[in-house]
Amino acid sequence: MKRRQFLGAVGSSLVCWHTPSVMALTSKRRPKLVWVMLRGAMDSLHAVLPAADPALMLHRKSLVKAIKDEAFPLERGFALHPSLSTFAELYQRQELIAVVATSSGANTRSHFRAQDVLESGYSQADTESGWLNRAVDAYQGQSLAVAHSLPISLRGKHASQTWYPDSFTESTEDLYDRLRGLYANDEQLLTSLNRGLETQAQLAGMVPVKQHHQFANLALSCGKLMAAPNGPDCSMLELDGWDTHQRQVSRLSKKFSELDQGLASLRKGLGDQWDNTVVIVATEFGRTVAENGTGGTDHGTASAMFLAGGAVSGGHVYGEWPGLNKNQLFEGRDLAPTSDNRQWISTVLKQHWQLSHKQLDTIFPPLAAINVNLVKMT
Amino acid sequence: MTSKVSMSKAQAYQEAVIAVNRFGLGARPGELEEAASNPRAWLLNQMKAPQFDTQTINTESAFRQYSSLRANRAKRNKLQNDMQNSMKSRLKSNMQAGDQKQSANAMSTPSMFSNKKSKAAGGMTNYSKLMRQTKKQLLTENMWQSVNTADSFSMRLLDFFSNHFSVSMSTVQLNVLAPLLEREAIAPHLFGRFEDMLVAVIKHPAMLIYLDNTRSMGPNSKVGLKRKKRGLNENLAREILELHTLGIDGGYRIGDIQTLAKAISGWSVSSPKEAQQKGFVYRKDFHEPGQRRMFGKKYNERRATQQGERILRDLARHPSTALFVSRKLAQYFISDNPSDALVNSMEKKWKTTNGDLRAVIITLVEHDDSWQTERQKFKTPREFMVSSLRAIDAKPDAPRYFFQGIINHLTEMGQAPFKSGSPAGYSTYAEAWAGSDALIKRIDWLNKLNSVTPKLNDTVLALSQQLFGDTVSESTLLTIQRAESARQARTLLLMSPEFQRR
Repeated sequence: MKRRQFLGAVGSSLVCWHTPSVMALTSKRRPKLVWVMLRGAMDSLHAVLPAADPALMLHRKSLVKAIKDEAFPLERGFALHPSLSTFAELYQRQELIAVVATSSGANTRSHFRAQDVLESGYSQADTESGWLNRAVDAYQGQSLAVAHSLPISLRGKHASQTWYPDSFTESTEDLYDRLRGLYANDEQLLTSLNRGLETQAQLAGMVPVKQHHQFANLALSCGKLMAAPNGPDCSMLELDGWDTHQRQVSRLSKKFSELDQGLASLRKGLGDQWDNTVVIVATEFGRTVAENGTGGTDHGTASAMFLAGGAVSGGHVYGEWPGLNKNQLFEGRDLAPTSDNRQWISTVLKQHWQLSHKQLDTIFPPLAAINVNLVKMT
Repeated sequence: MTSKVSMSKAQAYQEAVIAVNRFGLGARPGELEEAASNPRAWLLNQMKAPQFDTQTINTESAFRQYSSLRANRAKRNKLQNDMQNSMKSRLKSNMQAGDQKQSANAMSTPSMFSNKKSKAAGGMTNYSKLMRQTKKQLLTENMWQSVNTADSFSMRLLDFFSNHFSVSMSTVQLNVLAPLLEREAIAPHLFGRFEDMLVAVIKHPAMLIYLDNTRSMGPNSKVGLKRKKRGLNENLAREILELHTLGIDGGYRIGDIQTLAKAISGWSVSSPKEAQQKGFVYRKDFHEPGQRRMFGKKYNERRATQQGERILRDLARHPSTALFVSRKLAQYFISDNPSDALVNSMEKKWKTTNGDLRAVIITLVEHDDSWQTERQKFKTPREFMVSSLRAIDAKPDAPRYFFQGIINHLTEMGQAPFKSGSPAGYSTYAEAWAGSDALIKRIDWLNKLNSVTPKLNDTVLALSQQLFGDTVSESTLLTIQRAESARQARTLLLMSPEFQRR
């Protein structure tokens, strides 16, 4: 059988594919975007330690003590959690930006509502329309969600694909051949079957089936699929388990390792395409500045986000720091937001995908522009 | 047998296949023959509300547990034991229900799903575990009932309205309340008036919690005047207009959302401290006083929830609702793009009967456009899995674990019950489910099913007869006959175009 292009491989067969834009035909390397959503509210003060803020120790002495000696120093007196070694390496290679004190704009401390807002990109969440969907629609690209079912970020007008390894039993080549015969007169089913098998072939032998669902393996597969010829222009990965009300030190140490390995695997999977890629990592909100009574932190407001990838003009910590003195905290308890996630994402879309202001207006509500080069200018 | 008789028999089977597969959840053994005698009557006879055991677990008991566990943590273990005992004493009947078609009709909870091991509940240390366990039980029962019921047409209707009024398990409490919404507010009104269903659904704690109405308060309400920071929450009102009744193009304005939000302000749920009521409560002090005006009609201040209820009833009868829900029903059962003739006749019936669902559904069943031979609907994962299990007449040794596994598989296929993550529910269109990854998963799932279901008693040709009579295509017939094993033949039959579409 003629080897199908990857474009089809991940594709749902039914919808007509967008005609590749002129840009796709003329440029071999299309810039890629990976959206990593951390569900459960990552504690940003534990990820990007504001080590230079004298008030930090007053709020969370034991949380800080556990990590501060081994944290990786960044500019402006910040430091990265010791488990984030890949992040640190990328920072040194100027391929990582940390943004501090940024929020989704969701006026709530409910995970569920705030995640909807972050994914939708609208201040009033629309669960049927996600920002990444609108962005890739404007870009006329292809997208992939590594998920059982389509997350809100990729819901909407543009037809996105999902892929996720299952726990079922793989079939024999013989069965597939017979199914091809069975679908000989059924274009819809035949196309889906062939494309599905193509995806399987691209991922064959990569990781043991049993560990497929581990984040690092999902990220590796995701990178591999994106790097395939005519692979999707953007993808979404999700990692949950950040709601650390208790035993935060040990839990986040594991969690950050998981995230860090995921980023390393994604980079590996992307191969050469890494240089073309921006990875955006964000969470629905931050956590309380003060440690609670059970060795954890509670739902807060501002958090941090990361931009990583070979296309990133990195080695910086961005975002105005609001300070941790009691009178500087939001509602007396939370890190105050000084920027909105969407301002940074919007700037990435503008610089990385060359989206116009008019296009950006279809993606996010009007927000103040950020005049910093987040993406390498080539 | 004369040729005339065999012709009409073939036609009857043609219609029976449509009745069983397009309207129902697929043929269990013998079902096609039953339907063949009179396919339309066979469907109309199924129009009775699905029965569930709402005695053991219901909204009130869920709230009672919640407040008890919250109020007195010391009593926790005792309560869990009580809960355990009540689970144990669940109905023991219907254990053999799968073998007795009759009992499948009026099914209550089979005891095989209750928690037999005392340590399962005794070891529970918190409310969320209890809720998750109860959730599993409710979902598993529903799945078992879908696979075993003789009234699969009514189960599909239940699925339709459950998805129409979609609630996701976004909080611990909703783990249990979401499946209860379906049982308590939807099932009883499935063949009644849409307005009754609408009112019951909107007043159900699951919906009030899911769409944030519990703390919504009018700016001029007694409490609202004191607490300026709080106010109306328009979420529920917006979704009622956009998704439940008129539809997005149904001709309402932003002001109508606010009006409806004011009308239903004060519709709330009891807090753990409120001892008397458990579940829905009307908070007069949250309710925005005064008259409401919508679509040119005035709704005066009334006692308790009556103002809001009257608006909801008028919305249910509104011409836009008639069109919106009729089309959605036709899209669900017949085609992603149903004929105008079909939609219009349902819409007309809706208008003349003020939204009598029984009458509208009869119109759907009796319309010629519903019986086109072309299979226009691609099965959703749930429909595919349930119809597969009905086809093979799955009788697992450990039904509780087996059906719990099926729920997990459904999650892997992207259609976890009450987890659509959107008040719009899951799509029923082919484009959402016929993608390449989804198709491979179906094949792999059937392989897995082969490995967990014991030996095949019947030949694949008998199974093909059971499902399709003589209507199966020649190429499918050839493919399954040439299969290398009985199991492979079964997989091929269940993956055939005939089985993947309805």
